[in-house]
Amino acid sequence: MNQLSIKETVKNYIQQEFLYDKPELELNDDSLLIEEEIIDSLGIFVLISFLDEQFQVKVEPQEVIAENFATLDVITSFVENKLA
Amino acid sequence: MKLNLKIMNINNPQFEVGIIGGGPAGSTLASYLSQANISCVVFEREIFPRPHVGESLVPATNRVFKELNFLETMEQAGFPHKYGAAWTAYNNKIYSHNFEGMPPDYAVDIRFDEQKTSESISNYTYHVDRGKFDQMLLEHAEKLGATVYQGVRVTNIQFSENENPKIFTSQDDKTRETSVRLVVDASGRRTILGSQLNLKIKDPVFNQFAIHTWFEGFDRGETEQKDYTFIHFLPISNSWIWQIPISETVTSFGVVTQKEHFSKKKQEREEFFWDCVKTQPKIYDKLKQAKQLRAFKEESDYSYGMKQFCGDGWILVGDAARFVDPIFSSGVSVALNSARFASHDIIRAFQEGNLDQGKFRRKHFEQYESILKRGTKNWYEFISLYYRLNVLFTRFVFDPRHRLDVIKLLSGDVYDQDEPSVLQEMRKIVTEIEQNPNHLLHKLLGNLTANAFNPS
Repeated sequence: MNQLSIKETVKNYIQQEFLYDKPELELNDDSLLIEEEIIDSLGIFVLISFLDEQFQVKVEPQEVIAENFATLDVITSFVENKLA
Repeated sequence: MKLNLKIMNINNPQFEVGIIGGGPAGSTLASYLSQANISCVVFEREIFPRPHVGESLVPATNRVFKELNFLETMEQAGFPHKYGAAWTAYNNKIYSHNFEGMPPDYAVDIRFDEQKTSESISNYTYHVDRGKFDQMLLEHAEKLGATVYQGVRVTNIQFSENENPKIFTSQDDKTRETSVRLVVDASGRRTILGSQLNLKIKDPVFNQFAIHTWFEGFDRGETEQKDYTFIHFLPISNSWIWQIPISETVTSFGVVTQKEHFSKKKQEREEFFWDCVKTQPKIYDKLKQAKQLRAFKEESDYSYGMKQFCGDGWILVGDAARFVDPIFSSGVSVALNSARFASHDIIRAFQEGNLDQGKFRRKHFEQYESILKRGTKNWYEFISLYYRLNVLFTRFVFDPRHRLDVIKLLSGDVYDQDEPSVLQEMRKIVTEIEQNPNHLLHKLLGNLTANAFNPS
């Protein structure tokens, strides 16, 4: 799976799952997902389940930190590294 | 079994064993003792059938049903088979597990048709109408030879060094005394002996409260999970709803929460039930269309331990020994298995003829005490970590590295090991998240502490 499709897949998911009631909000590759509370803690948990289902990526407990989930770009490279 | 006559050197009691309470713990113990030809009497306060909370079982009960030749009776009763459990999060996502891979000892293996050569082995347990189930089990004990009195209240127990213990009972204002060699408290949450001997310690962490009732016609759907136990997470911490199938058409619903969330007014407590259900709109809509069959019933102050499980002339089994929390349907299993372990020590003492001048001493129950301590400690740890992990618990059920260990625990297999490795793993994760306030899941942790409470 190439970079575009990982990013696009995650982006679509975040839009559907977390921004369905905020169509006016534009989601960029560097939007601060955690800081701007686009995704809350339960949301992170839901997103982790999604990454597992979609890409078979197992996220270890110690990896659930802002450094890996801050933006769409960051999540994408995190998933890529996991798949590499 | 032939009783060893060496032990009969104080006046023979009317019954070898007197059991307070005819619920699952009492009737199971009475059945095991009767199978071994040890005379016993059961005093039950109520006249069965009577309703009771605790309707979902775990597979560890199957081992007891098999040993008591009761599995076929269970099948004939037509109780819904429970193949697993499912959790629903607030986003409506469903996480479920089944019991595949549970200990083989717990499998249901009935040969319905004598002609068939192969046994069918299935990974399931049951959901029961406790009125019916408890009555069936008590009748089974009676059939095996136990003396059973219903509608008889135990008022006091007397112990003295030179005589057999005496159980005082009352029925229709008439008082009677019965002498026995051993008193078994199976009185459930009434904890008759624990209260009389001042052994009871309230759990400092768990102070949960439950409100529950039955509904007719709730649409459980047509999926594979329709007869699972459902646990619906609630947005208030440490709170959840149980959904337990009682029959094809009847479903039991209960809300469990911390006591502080509950109002002192009954009407407001019932509103709270509906407010909680409302947070799961799909369930709410279907439940509003169903018919409530019974008045709401409430359970509180049920989390406690005992300073000791046994002493000279007495032993505690089931809820009378310990109850923590209803989350993993462990109540009936602890009742049945603690009665099973207690029966081993009692039967052994008679077989070896090593009573102390005809009396039971605490030392006769050394094995029981250590097994029960280990089992309840493991249950308690599991439940504490579960509440701390909250929604994160579902990760463990799905992680193939832990699934089988978690299934063992959920099946009720908690007595053999000092501490199952998956509990250590859960604790590691809880600690990791707990100690790092920047961890993105930090806020998700439940607010019950995971420090174990070990009164006994």
